[in-house]
Amino acid sequence: MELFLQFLFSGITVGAIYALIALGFNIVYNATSILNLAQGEFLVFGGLLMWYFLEKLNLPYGFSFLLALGATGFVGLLMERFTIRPLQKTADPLLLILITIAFSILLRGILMFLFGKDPYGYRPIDEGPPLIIFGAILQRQVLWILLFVVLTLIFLYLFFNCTMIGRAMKACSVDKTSASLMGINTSQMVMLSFFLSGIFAGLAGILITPITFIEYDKGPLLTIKGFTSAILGGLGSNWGVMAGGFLLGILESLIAGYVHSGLKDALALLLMLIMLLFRPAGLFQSAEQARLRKL
Amino acid sequence: MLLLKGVDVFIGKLHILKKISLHIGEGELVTLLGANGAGKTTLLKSLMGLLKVANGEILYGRQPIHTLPTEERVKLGLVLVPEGKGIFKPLTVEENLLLGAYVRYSFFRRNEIKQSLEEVYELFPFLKEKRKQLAGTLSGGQQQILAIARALMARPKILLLDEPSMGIAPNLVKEIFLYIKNLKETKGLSVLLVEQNAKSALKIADRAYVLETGKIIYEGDAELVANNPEVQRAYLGRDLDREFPA
Repeated sequence: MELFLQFLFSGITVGAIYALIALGFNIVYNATSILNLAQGEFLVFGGLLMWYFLEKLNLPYGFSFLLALGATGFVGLLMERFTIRPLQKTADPLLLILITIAFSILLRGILMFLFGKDPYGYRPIDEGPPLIIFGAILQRQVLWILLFVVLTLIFLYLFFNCTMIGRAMKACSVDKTSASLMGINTSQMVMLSFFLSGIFAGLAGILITPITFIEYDKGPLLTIKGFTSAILGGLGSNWGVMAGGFLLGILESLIAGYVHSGLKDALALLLMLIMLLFRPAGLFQSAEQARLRKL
Repeated sequence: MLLLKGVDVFIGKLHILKKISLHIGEGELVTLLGANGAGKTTLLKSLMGLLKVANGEILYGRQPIHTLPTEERVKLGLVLVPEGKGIFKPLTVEENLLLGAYVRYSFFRRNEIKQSLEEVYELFPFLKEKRKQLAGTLSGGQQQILAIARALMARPKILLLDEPSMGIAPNLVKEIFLYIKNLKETKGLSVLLVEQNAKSALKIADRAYVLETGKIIYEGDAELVANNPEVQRAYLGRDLDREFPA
């Protein structure tokens, strides 16, 4: 029981991170029908930047947090302006996806150049002793991570249901032409989606670094995990992909704990293959729902 | 108010609109008639900037607008209710209506928009009843009304309607047409109405244009158009008795 709880806690922790990455995937996908495969690098960028502000510049925690968050969002925005926007009208989606890979390689190179190959970490938000629940150890940072995930969910709900700009984004994801007939500037919505996806990935990086440490080349694997989560939950629905993130995190951690830790990363790839072959619309939505979303 | 001067539009290599010139005055209800494939929808799409104008000009007031992106034209007050409605099916009815007011929206004017919403609900009570439902669950006719109501939320200066009567019960069609006429008269709204239902359209229109294979072949007062044999030939099919008298 203790062991199970321990695996569950660690599963929820990584699951929360996958959920945030998957969310970034989904927001960009809804606005553009492409996948931003630089998500993992945004996460690493967020974590490393936080370290820089906190440990190098000795800025206060909250301020560093906001600064790092804003910076990742801004990089997402720059990425859209310089790589996606000039080509969006003419290029094939596949080409655009390849461009995001190119951008991720570029960003990784820059990060290696700036921070070297060492892993980085910094103090968690709350430095108190870990909690013991039924014999399982729960780090306080995990509670903070969950708090931020809940805040993100509330933000998403309010943003998409109670603000005009959120509604406009939804409209864009349903039908671009009709959205522009409402007077919505669709290219601005695409930019906003990249900004938001940068922020969510950055948030994940900032939160996870105190627990796992982070180095420049952690991005690609996290991108794959986030993408698998998105496929599990079904691209298109914000709630679905976040649930997919937690599901993948918990499954991984149980497999690693009970079977073999070497299988952890293989699981994500295997699940992705199975889902794409048999249920490409995801666990939580039917193929028809997925189609309705895109039409 | 809206003026087209020698507009040419191509789709791919096909020359769809050939030197189209027409105008819509302020507070005028103009109808555009023509058989399937004459280029009516193409004309509306070019007005909105969904298709590129190859030659010629579109003037709104005195401002040339044919180079503006679609959303800028909407901001100027040009609003299209597209054929096939273009409603957002996975969104709720109310969300659809609110999006109609997107160009008017600002945080400080949100009460104004709430008021418009109430006006629309008063006009079409079934929309209020179903405001929390997904728009895709409405019937075809209800969706059409939703599309028109949504366009009105933008407070347009020129309303472009593409086949508004398609798929609606006849008594509703009458109601909608009366309502459009009423809007024109009370608010000075200009309307360009593209309609299959030529008779009803001509009844409420001030002027009419007849489009045939991309060219305007006739222009005149709605009443005259209704009785014009040329129009009947182009639009209602050939009058064989007249062409080949026995």
